[in-house]
Amino acid sequence: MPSVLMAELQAFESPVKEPWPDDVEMYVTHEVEQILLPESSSCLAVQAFFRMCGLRYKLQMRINAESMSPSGKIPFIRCGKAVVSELDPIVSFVAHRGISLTTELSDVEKSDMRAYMSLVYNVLGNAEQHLMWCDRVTFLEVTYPRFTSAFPRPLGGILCYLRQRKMRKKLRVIDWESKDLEKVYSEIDNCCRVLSERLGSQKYFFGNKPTELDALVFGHLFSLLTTHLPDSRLSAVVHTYDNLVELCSTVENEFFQRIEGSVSLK
Amino acid sequence: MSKQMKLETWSGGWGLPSIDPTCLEIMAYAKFSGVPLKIVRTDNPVNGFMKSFGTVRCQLPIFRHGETVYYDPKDVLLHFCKENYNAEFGQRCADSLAYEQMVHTRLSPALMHAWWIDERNYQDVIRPTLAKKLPFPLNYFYPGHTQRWMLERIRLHYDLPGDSKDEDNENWEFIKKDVFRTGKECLNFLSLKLGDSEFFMGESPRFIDAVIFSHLAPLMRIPLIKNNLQAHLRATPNLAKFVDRVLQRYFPTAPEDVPAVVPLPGMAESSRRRNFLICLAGLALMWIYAVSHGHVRVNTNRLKMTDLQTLESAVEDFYEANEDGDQT
Repeated sequence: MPSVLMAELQAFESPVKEPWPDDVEMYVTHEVEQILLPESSSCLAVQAFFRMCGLRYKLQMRINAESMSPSGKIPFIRCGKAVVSELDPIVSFVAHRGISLTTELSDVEKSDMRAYMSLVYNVLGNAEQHLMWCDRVTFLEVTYPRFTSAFPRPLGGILCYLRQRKMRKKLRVIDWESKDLEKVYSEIDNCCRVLSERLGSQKYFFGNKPTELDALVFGHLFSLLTTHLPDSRLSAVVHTYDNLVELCSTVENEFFQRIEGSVSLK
Repeated sequence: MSKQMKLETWSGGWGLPSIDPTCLEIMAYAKFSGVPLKIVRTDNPVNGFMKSFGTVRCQLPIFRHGETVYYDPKDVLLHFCKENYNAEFGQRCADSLAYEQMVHTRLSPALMHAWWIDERNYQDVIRPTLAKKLPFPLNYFYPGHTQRWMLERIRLHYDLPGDSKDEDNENWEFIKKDVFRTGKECLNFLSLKLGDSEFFMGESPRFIDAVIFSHLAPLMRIPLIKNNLQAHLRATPNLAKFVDRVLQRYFPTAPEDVPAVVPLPGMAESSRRRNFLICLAGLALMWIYAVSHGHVRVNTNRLKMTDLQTLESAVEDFYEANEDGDQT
């Protein structure tokens, strides 16, 4: 979702012809003990996007990355004087530097890509938030300990419940809060079926070259597949779509080989 | 099925069969796939008194088929599918689902903003229109209630703190720009997708055409005071033609010219009851006025006085009798 402070982006009207600087830093929270499912998806998506573009970045893990971000969401990048957060603004920021993955797509394909990206944001993004904050078991077993790990004792709990209240309110206005677990799983299943149908037997969504959509889908599905949740049905749902799993492992093998200790797909 | 499917909706205006996008979506889909759906333009959202956790929401459209009642268009379309009216919804192609989500995330906020958040549009067009349609006591608070709800939605969507609208004008100014930018982008994408063809997916209208039509038609036809998006839509000839085409083919008669509702027996009864209640209320008011201004005197006071007097004299008699008894 876009944020108000993203307004700074409007300043970059004309494309900049400078080369990509060396000191770009990407800030995320600690991957192993702190990060939550939705955040992990978007961090992975942005990382995949950078790697697909062949751009250099340094990954910085900070406990308070969320408070540092201009929109309150991670990941965000620092490039010279600019600070940009979330995938869409980062993609347009990079495009202003003359780097884009979609130059070869036709106009119709570009609008198709946008449509599928809205689908992923809307369905997978909201489903992940729902699992983290509205499902009682997952909240107590995963969200609460992970969220509170970054704060001293009573403060963490208070902040966690405040965040839960906010997220539930947010989901309520878009009619997601009242859904039960079955409905959420069927939404995820539906979304995966649609993506799988579109992907077909191609290597990436639009032919042989990766796009933002591949980065985004990879970010979400890879997190869903590799995160351990109390209910294992989630990864089972994704595993039923062979070509999507195939896509995830292709992206992982081609772009993420150098990450040490990354979790691999089976 | 023996029972008829019924849909309670907002009534139309400006050449539209209904002014509300959600109602339009179901109506258009029913027309496209030949579902015998009876449209009842009640304009009364209280009939669908829905309790969702913590908030009480009344909304239209309401779909009724025998005992089943649905509020969500998705449920309604699935119900059509279950009744074997069109199998297309069950296995619609991937693209239409993706485009549906795009319309909901990119175009809906722009419509919402233009209708409810922009003060001039709301005060001069939306509020009077709804107030005219709504039945008596509702017209005073329903538009305001909906506006607050929409404000909340936009506020949470953009992570804005605070409750009041004027709290942070800079943020709202930004939101306005952002909403129109994404809306415009969405229109451009839709226009590219449509190209020169008649409908979005092939020769005949499908589910996705219903969704897109239901958002574009109100945007194009309802004359808002300030609406950049409307100008942009009119400047996009293929989308404008698409809206006109659907309106002409599937909703040929301008709905204002036709009597909106063929009165059902139940409705006739309810209107008779309503008239009776109105008469009763009028009589009661007149009576209260007459009494309070002294045109009619009800002799309750005098009755009470005489009662008191008789009571007093009775008590006095009693005491006198007792005193007599004590003396003896």
